[in-house]
Amino acid sequence: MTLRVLALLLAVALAVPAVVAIARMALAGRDRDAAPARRRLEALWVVVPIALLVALLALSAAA
Amino acid sequence: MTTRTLPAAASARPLAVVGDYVRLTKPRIISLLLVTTAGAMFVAASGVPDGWLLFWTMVGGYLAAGGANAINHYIDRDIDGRMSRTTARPVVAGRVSPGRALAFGVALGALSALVLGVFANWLAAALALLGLALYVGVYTLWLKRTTVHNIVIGGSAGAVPPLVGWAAVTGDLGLSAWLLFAIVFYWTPPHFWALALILERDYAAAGVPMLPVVRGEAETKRQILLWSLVMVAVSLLPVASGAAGALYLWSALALGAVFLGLAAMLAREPGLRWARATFHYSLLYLALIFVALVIDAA
Repeated sequence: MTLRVLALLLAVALAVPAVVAIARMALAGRDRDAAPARRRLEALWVVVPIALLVALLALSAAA
Repeated sequence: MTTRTLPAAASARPLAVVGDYVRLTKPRIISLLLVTTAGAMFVAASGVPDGWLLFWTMVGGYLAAGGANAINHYIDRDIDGRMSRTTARPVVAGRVSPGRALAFGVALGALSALVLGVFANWLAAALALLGLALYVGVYTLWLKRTTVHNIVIGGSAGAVPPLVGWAAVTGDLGLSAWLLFAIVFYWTPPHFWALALILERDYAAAGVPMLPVVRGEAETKRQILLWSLVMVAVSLLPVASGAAGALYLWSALALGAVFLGLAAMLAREPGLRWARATFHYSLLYLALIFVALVIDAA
C-alpha cells in the first residue's frame, strides 16, 4: 500500500463517520418553527463544509 | 546645544495612541495567520522563497488582516461593550472614535492591496481583499449575530492567508493551495468553540448565537470532537494528493492524535478544564502542522 493510499483511506475512515454524525445532529437540532427561507439557509451552512470536504477528498484521490 | 525634555505625560500620550491603533489590528491573532501565510509560501516554493517577496507578503498580509480587524472593532462596538473580555478595546473605551477606527481599517485594507499588488502580484492582492470582505461582510455583518453556524462559514476568512501566500509565490492556486485553505477552514470550528465554551457567558450577554449559547455545553463538546475528526482527516489530504510525504504524514497523525485526545477528554469530562487545554493546543497545532509541511517540502 502506498503512502498516498494509506493517507486517503485514513482520511475517509476519520471523516465519513464524523460527517454523518454532524449531519444527523444538524438535522435533529434544526428549528422547525423558522421560516422556510431561514431553514434552507441554515441547511446550506451545514451542506457547504460537507460538500467542500467531499470535493477535496475526490480531487486528492484523483491527483 | 540644549536638549529639551518633554513632560512624561506628553511623551507617553503619542505612544498610547499608537498602541491603541496597533490594538485595533489584533496583532496576536494576526501572528498565527501570518504563520500560515509564510508556511504556504515555503511549501509553494518547495524551499525558501525570495526574502523580499516573503517580507512584503507578510507586510501586506498584516495590513489586510489588521484592516479587517479594525473594521470589526467599528462594527462590533455595541456588543464589545457588553462582553467583559472586550470592554477595554480602544473604540468601546472611547480612546479611538468609531469613525477613525473605520477609516483606519479601510486605509489598511487599501494599503494591503497596493503592497501585495506591487511587490507580489494582483492575485495575492485580490485574495487578501477577499479575506477582508469575508471577515467583515460574511462573518461580522451577516453570520456572527444570526446563525449558530457563524464560525463554520465565517471561518473561511481566516483560511484565506495560505491562499495569499501560495498565490504570492506561484501566481496561481492549485489543489495544494486549497488543501492548505481547508486545513485552516476545518480547524476553525473546534478552535473557536473551545474558546466559546470558556466565554459562553460573555457571548450570551452580547446576544451572539455561538454554539454553546444556543445548543449548550454538551452538544458543543460533541461537535468539537466531530469537527476535530474532520480536521485531522483533512490534514492528511496533502499526502493523499501526493503534495506531501512521510515526514508530514507522521507529524500530522501525531499532532492530530493529541488534538483528538484533548477533544475526547473535553467531551467526556464535565466542566471546562479541558476547553482551555484544547483551545491553547489548537493554536500550537495549526502552527506545527504548517511547520511540518514546510520541513517536508524543503
